[in-house]
Amino acid sequence: MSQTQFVLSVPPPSWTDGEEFRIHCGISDGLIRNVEPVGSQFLAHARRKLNNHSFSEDDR
Amino acid sequence: MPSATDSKPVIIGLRIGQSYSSIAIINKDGRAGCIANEDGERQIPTMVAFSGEEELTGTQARVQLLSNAKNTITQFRNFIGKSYEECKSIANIGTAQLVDKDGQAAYKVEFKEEETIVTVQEVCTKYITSLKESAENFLGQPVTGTVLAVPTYFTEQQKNSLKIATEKAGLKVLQLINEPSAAALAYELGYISGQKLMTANEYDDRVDVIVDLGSDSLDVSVMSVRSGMYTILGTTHDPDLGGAAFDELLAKHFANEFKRKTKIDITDNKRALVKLRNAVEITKKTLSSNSTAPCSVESLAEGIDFHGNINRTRFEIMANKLFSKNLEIISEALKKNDLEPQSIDEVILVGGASRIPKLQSKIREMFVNPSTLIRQDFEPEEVVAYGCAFQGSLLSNFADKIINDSINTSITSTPHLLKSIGIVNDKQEFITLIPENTPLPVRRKFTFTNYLENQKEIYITVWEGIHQHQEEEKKVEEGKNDEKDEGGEDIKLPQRPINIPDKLLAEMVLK
Ligand SMILES: Nc1ncnc2c1ncn2[C@@H]1O[C@H](COP(=O)(O)OP(=O)(O)OP(=O)(O)O)[C@@H](O)[C@H]1O
Ligand SMILES: [Mg+2]
Repeated sequence: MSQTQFVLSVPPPSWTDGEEFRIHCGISDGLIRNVEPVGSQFLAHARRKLNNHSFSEDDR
Repeated sequence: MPSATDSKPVIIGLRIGQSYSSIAIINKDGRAGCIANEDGERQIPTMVAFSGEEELTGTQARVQLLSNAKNTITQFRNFIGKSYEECKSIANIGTAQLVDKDGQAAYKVEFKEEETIVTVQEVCTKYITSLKESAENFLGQPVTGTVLAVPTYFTEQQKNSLKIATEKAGLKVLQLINEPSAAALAYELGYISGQKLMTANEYDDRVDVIVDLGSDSLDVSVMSVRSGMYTILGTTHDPDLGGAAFDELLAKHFANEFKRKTKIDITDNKRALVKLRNAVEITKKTLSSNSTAPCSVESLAEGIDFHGNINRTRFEIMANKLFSKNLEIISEALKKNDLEPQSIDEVILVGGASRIPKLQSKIREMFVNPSTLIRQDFEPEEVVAYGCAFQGSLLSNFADKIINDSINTSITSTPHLLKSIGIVNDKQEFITLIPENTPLPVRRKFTFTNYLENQKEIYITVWEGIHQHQEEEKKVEEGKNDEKDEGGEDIKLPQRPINIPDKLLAEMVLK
């Protein structure tokens, strides 16, 4: 886990109380590339992909 | 006695270079190390020779090279999986003759008093068998498998052919991995004097440049590293650079000196050139640690011995153009990926010729940002083999099927973030949380701290960022400077390109 160190602003006046989030748009389309099949993080990635698992399913 | 099936698998890491090869294992303390062959060498010459009734490899082949050049096979690694036509114009001159065997590249040698043709794949099998035996002699137990490094420019056909050659040598190939990835892995998993090496940042996001100056080529790979996942963004291969190019310079220099002293021209004397090239390689290596180095060849031509000397400064002047060419290739590799030297976190030096001190200092100058680490903690010839050994030990816990399924392109091919994702602070500055080129899916955790004591909610905006180009920034800096001090000799270090927020993705309130 990473600790962030900076000051965040306050909600704008237009923000309604009780509102949790507003999604504006998705991320840009990713570029398809090959990850190098080495190292333990890759093996974990491969395991998730092979089992069709999400990160949280993988945690269990 | 334990049978082969119930004993633990013994996996070695192998890198086969055009000139030298290395065998690595993981020691009991979890560190990688290279094994010496029976002659005490850890950089084992990639050579196979036929002498009378005997087949010789490695150091044994090298010691008889000068007396038996026509039956000694050198520089064969790159010919594996290639046709004779593809290889004929680049074959070594002065050693065993390259010939056509049903279209395949092969060598003609004399063995047991008969003319024999051996294909490149057979040569590789003989050589790899000897590496396996060296490892077994050292370890005192059978070696079961290997992870083998291959250059990034190898074709699928070359990889297949090398795999077959290795399997014929009695070694199961767990995986073939790219040389630069092996080097990066070695640095990630390596320890030096009890200390873990990498501590870039929490998630270990970096851009690495792997500069491999071997004997025959310069290979530059630009790699993005995201939480231990590696993606090669681009590679550049220059087959005219490498240690041999420096040997050639020295050989020319001493051939001229010999001509001046004796009036004998050896330019067309193949045998003399083989002798001289062999000698100057030692001269070149000596110059990396000493300020002067001798070059001696017994009976160079017409029975006359040669003795010469060169100092490092002279060599560096002679090699200046070569240094520049090497640097040009490195900077081209960066440009191809739209990167500036100042955005590089680490430069990993690989390959024996990267030991040349002047080249190292020029690389240091090129990556002017002091935060760019120049990694040379490990022996540059060995680091690729270390990475293979580490990968071998990771894989030794998995079944063959899982390994094969994992390294399939359906698993390796994956979308990567096009632009960084981050948040904006109260000064409207973009703070990267997940950098571009991160493979997806990705999960990261961050802790946001409140800045008021009783604050119950934190409002954050999530943005996609784009790189702002460095030039504009620098101009602003210079403009500011002009007002303050005129003609000040301030040395401005280039800054890393920074991200600016581009597109608002989401707003949210954390409670
Ligand atoms: N101390 C040294 N100083 C300068 N050059 C050296 C030194 N030690 C080794 N070399 C050179 O490094 C080269 C061998 O490096 P390396 O083993 O990495 O090459 P390789 O992997 O066999 O070649 P390639 O990568 O082109 O296939 C040779 O040209 C050798 O002369
Ligand atoms: Mg090499």
